[in-house]
Amino acid sequence: MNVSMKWLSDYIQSHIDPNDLAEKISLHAQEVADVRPLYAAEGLVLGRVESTEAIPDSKNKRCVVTVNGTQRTIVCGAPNVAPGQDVIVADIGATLPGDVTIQKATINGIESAGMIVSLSELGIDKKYHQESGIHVVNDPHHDASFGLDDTVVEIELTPNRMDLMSMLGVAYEVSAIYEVPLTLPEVTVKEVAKVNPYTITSDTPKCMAYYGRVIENVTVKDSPEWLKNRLIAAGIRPINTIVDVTNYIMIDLGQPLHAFDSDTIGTQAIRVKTAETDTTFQTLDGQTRALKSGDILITDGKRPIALGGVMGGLDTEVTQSTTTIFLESAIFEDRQIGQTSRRLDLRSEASLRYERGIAHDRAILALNKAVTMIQALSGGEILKGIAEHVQTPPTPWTVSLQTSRVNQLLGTTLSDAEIKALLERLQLTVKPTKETLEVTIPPRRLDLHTDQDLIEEVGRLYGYNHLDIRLPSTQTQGYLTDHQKRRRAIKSHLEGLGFFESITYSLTHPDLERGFVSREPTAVLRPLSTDQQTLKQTVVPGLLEVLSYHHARQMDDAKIYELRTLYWEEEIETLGIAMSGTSTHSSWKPPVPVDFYSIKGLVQHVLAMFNVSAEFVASRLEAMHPHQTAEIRIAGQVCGFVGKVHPETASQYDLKDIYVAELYITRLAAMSDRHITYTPVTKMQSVRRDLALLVDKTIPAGVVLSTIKSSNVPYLVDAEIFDVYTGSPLLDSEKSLAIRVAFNDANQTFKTEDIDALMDQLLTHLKNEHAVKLRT
Amino acid sequence: MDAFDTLKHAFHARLKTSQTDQELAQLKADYLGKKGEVTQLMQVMKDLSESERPVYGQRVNALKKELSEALNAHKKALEKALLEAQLAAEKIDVTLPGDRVQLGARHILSSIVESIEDLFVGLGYQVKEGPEIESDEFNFEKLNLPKHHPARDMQDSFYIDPNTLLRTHTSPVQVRTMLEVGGQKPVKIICPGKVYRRDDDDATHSHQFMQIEGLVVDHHTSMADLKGTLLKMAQTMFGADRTIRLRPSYFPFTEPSVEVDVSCYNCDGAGCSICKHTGYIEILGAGMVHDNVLKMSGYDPKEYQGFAFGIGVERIAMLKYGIEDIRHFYTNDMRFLRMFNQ
Ligand SMILES: [Zn+2]
Repeated sequence: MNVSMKWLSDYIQSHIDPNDLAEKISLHAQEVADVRPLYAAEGLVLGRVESTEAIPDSKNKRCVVTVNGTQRTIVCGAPNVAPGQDVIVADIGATLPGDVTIQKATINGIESAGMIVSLSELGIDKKYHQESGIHVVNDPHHDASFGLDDTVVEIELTPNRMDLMSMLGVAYEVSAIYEVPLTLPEVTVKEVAKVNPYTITSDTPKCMAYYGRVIENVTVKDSPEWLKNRLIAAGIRPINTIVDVTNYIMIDLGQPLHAFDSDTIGTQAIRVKTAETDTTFQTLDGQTRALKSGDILITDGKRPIALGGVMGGLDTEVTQSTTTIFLESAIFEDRQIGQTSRRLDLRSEASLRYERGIAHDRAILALNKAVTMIQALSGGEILKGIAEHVQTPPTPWTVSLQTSRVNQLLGTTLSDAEIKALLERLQLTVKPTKETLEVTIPPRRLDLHTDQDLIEEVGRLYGYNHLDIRLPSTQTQGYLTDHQKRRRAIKSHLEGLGFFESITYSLTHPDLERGFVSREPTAVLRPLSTDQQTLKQTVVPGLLEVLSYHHARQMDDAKIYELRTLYWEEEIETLGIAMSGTSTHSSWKPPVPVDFYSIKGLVQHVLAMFNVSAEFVASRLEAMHPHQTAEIRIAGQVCGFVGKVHPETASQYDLKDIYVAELYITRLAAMSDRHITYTPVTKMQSVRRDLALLVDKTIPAGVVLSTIKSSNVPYLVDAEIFDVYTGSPLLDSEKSLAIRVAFNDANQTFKTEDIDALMDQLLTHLKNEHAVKLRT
Repeated sequence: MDAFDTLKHAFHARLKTSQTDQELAQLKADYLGKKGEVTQLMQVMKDLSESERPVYGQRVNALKKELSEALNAHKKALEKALLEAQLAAEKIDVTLPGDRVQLGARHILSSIVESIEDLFVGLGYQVKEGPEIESDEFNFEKLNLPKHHPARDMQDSFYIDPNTLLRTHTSPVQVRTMLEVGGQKPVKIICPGKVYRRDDDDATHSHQFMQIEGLVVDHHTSMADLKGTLLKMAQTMFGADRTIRLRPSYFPFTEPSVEVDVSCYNCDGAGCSICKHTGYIEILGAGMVHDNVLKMSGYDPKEYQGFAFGIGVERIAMLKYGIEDIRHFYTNDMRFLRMFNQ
């Protein structure tokens, strides 16, 4: 809502500084977006063009202009400059938008004292006028400053404060904030004896009230300067006196109006009804609109003449030749106007007001003020009486307010009298009873229906910055859950190991995920772009994009992770890890490139944080290396995968030798055993023995290890692979595994024979399981 | 020179030239061994008189000790020389650079979330999380945003089907928590997480961002409590000298609703380009929980009241560090991420 300070002064006579108003409004009512002069110019004066004279060999004219009773010469290039015009002169020293300062100049050999300006030169956007030449002031005597010294305070309205969508509404607010008197509008309509012939009927409850007046013998004209300036200040383009008055009243009182050319309405019986589906209507912008059941139609009983609250019809539009006006002031159902205007993409200042809710008690005032203004500007006679149909008359309502609740919610200690005084500043009627304050709400404040609504009014007028500063007295224990702590620990560990946390977008393109996951993705209905149409089912492609970004910037040693939600049938928290480059970092020693076992080590570390033991099973994923990828299983459940990205996939990101892992943290957490059992640290030395085994090449080392660990050989506490060998002199089908096993018992030291016996037992078990041979 | 001296002389001559463990062992055997020279000296004993024997015996033992000590000393000297030679061979250039300890970094958004979590955990809050795919009911309806509510325009959303969408705020977690306790117990929580709005990405808009919301519900929770809580948060994030300012605003789920400004940390309120010459910077929205929200979550608004606030994590980071483009957070450039790790 753009508030013209001049316009506001119609209602608030006390002097108010626009900047102070902006601050007070923002602290007590609504956010203020801007305070700006209507014309961003200084040093403007009014001039009268006395004579013009063509300058040879130039399109410029030599003009004699009277400013403040003194004549001066100004050279002007505008083709429309002519004697008798009242014009705006930028005097010597004047500043115009765009850092233009007017200086004395010699043009075509003639000394020119100032510049006759156009609206564009005054910074008025082309959307408000169609003038190409200098601006001709059409009512120089209305106001000594011609509206040039107006300031606009732009308020950003929240949807609940639609009462501020009118100058009168703003005036109520200003009066409440400053505690200054408000001058309410009063209108006296001078009617002629001839009676308004119109009748109004309505078939629909969506038209709460409809009032109409007729004014005859008007002359449609260009509006005077002051009116145009106020409309421009409000952000509306001036058109002609009739349209301008309807817009002016809408801004002034918040009540949308519509003017029909009365002679084009077929009858004098207005009938409001709802449209039938599959009918059409030509709106005044020339478009044919497809109607739907429920749209509000204004008809003359035979054919539609306007789409109620949204747009008038082309046939009944006011034109330059219109002489008789039928002026509508009506109240339509907010929801229907919202639906119709949105569906037809016809959202206007009027439909917006209807949609958000207008004061239900200003329709007659608006109608009367409008016809009076039309008469003043365009002449004509106002016919006697208002044609009306009233379905739901506006009535005030009452809200009970308890002082104790006000104080509880705000944390204040206000008295009944103080609360009453605050509410009365808003011109609400407050009647104290034994236990409550009974507050009567006028129809202009549609946002006030509950005691909480009123507490907000009390709070903001009292001033939130006067409230006490306290902390809640609620005694509760604050803590992070074990999982939240562990999540932080995982992050810290990875960061200590050189990994950077990434946060990526959750929306992606399903093609990018192909080969990593084979679930059906969830799509959003109206994606902003095809790259962001489905929800992530795998972390890896996002991380590859991050690595690719770094590769393009010569950062190939990149280690990143992301802990994020994946959107499967359930949301599942997932850790993704990706690495490339080296696992050592020296500027001069030979680097050790990362490999499968680097990332597997990380994965094992994270698994250890959950105290779970996992199986790594060689497996295939289309986008991963077919022979360097393992599925991670815990108790048979898939908990992730780890491996090298398939070179073809990697090359799509311009990458190579990338290792990634994905761990389903939600599943790990569910299986995590965090129970801690204490056993005293053993005082006995473990006995270690090395075992060199020849096994079939196809048997994974992990399988041999788990066979050892599950062998039930007593005192066996550890087994570790320390060498893997293939090649001569072994057979092609063989490999050698060197395994170190350890035995320990807290209660005894072993004799060599004891250990020999245990080793035999172990070997027998291994031979039974995998047909291993002892390498000699 | 008697036999003793001769023997001693010969021993030392050999000792001097012995350079290896083997040579030393041989020398030891030759002189101190069972059939060694010194042992041989004892053979003479039987030819001596009773009175000469002890003296002679002592002399032999003394010689044995002397030679043995000389042998050990020589052995130690040899070992030392050997070690020194070995260490000399291990000489390195200590001026070459050391191995780099390559640390990663927490994402700045996570760091800010965690510091706010820590503040509120210290104040007795719990950290609650919830799903990102939400029902319209929890994301809107239970927050006093029925279908067709004009404020729904304010948050155009990514729907998955007519009743399901990507949450537009973490408020549904508040609703879930209130319903969990069944409207009977106080609630004191913060809810961090990713949220989504149908905004085209540019320098100041992101279709995905991080939010932290807070909620306290109890018998006497007031707006003064909200003010104190927000002041603490503002001071934690922007410095102990900061003050806050509350301005009226509108959210369907709170009433009264406020926007909260923090006094400008750059100019201390005097006015500068960061605060657009107002001395204040808008940082978050807050308010007293709307009666309808309390009712829909099982509380009796006559018995319970509460406050809620919501803060955009990216916005805080951008203000705090002067980051000019919100898209930087989602580019994950390691050079960018590294900057915020102290
Ligand atoms: Zn500042």
